Order: sequence, then C-alpha cells, then structure tokens
Amino acid sequence: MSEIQRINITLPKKLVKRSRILIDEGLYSNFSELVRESIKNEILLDSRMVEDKKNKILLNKLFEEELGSGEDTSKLSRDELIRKIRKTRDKLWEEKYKKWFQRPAS
Amino acid sequence: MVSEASELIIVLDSNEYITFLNENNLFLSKIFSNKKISIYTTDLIISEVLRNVEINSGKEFFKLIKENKIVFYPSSTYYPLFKKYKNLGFKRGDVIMASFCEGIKAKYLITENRHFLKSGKLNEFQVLSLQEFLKLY
Repeated sequence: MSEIQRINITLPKKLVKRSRILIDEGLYSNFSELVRESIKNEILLDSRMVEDKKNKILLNKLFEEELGSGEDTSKLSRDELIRKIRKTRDKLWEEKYKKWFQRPAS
Repeated sequence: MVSEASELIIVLDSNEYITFLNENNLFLSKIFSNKKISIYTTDLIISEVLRNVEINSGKEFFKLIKENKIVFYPSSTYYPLFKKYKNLGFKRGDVIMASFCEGIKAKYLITENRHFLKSGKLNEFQVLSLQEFLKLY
C-alpha cells in the first residue's frame, strides 16, 4: 500500500453539504475518497501544465549541470565546428544515451 | 505532448544555436520573431550547445530559450521510436535526434550537419539548412 499523509482542509459548509449528497448516493464510500478522486481528476485535467512544469525543472537542472562545461568555439571554421559538435554528440552518446539501448527487453 | 496541429514545428540543431551565439548573426532572429513557428528542443541539443560555447554564451542561450518560448521535451519521452531509427541505419546520437523530431511531429530539422542526411532515409520530417529554410519561410 502506498504511503499516506493526513491533511486537514477547510471547506465552505455548502461544499461539504453537496459532497455529503454524493457520498450518501453511494458515488463515493467516504469523504476522503471523494477528495482523492477529485484531486486525481484535477491532476489529469492539468496534466499538460504538470508536464510543462516537470520539463522546466529538467531544463533548469540540465543548465545547472552543463553550464560552464564548454569552451570558446567562435574562432573555428564552420567545418571545424561541425566536426567538434559531432565529437560532442558521440561523447554524450557514450556518457548518457548508450545505456538506454542496453536496457533489457521487457 | 504537442500543442496545436496547425503550427509549424521545427527543431534547430545545436550547430545553429552555437553559430548564432558565436557570430550574433540575424538569421535565427527571423525565425524567433515568426509567431507561426514553434521551436522545440531537447537535452541532447542543450548539452551540445553548452559544451561548445563559453559560459557567458551559455547564459545567453538560457535567456534565448526563455525569451523565445522554445519548447523543451526530454528525449527519453520518445524512447519507443529509438529502435525504428536504429533499424533505419542511424548512428549513435542521430537516433535520439531523429526520434525526437518525429516524436514532436516536427516538419523540419534545421541543421548544417550534412552528415545527418547520410545516416538514413527520412519520411517523417525534412532536413534543411538554415538558408534553405529561410527561402521557404
């Protein structure tokens, strides 16, 4: 069973009354279930927002990790730059991506 | 997840950002100011840029992403496509790039890296140089 946390919430009486009707009608077994399901639905509705936020955090983390790791390439010719980036891509492959291809088939 | 289907989605390869940061050329600005174009990027591109520019240009790159609302998605999202591009003959990091471009439904990958074209045949998106793209839009 997943870990649970007890949270006290304050609600308008009107909302509590309406919620009771849903419970009395058997749509939810208790108030906690109603709140849990409502939050899950809200998360689903806002999944794009949640995904965007997660991606923003990932992007910031990536910058924290990589910023300052580079060197000045402004004096390189176009071809030299392309070759250097190619080397970086190969290095990144070895460091990070190669292992994705070594995952056992599920 | 990709937003409106009507928008033109493109991916700028790391060499385009690096050239822009190093030379301050105005070609990319034309793309940034075009509201009909959505630019997407991923971790491979970000790492390549940051490893090939000095720290101040790296900070400039961060600003550029934020100010131009460049959309970031982690490449791992498109893991199911990796096998397809590996089987098509793509090598190493190019598998990640091609999977990302298809995954986000990009119409174009803008790059000066002609090596990419040699990796394999593409149906899902087109590879163009910046000049070729600017002639079209």
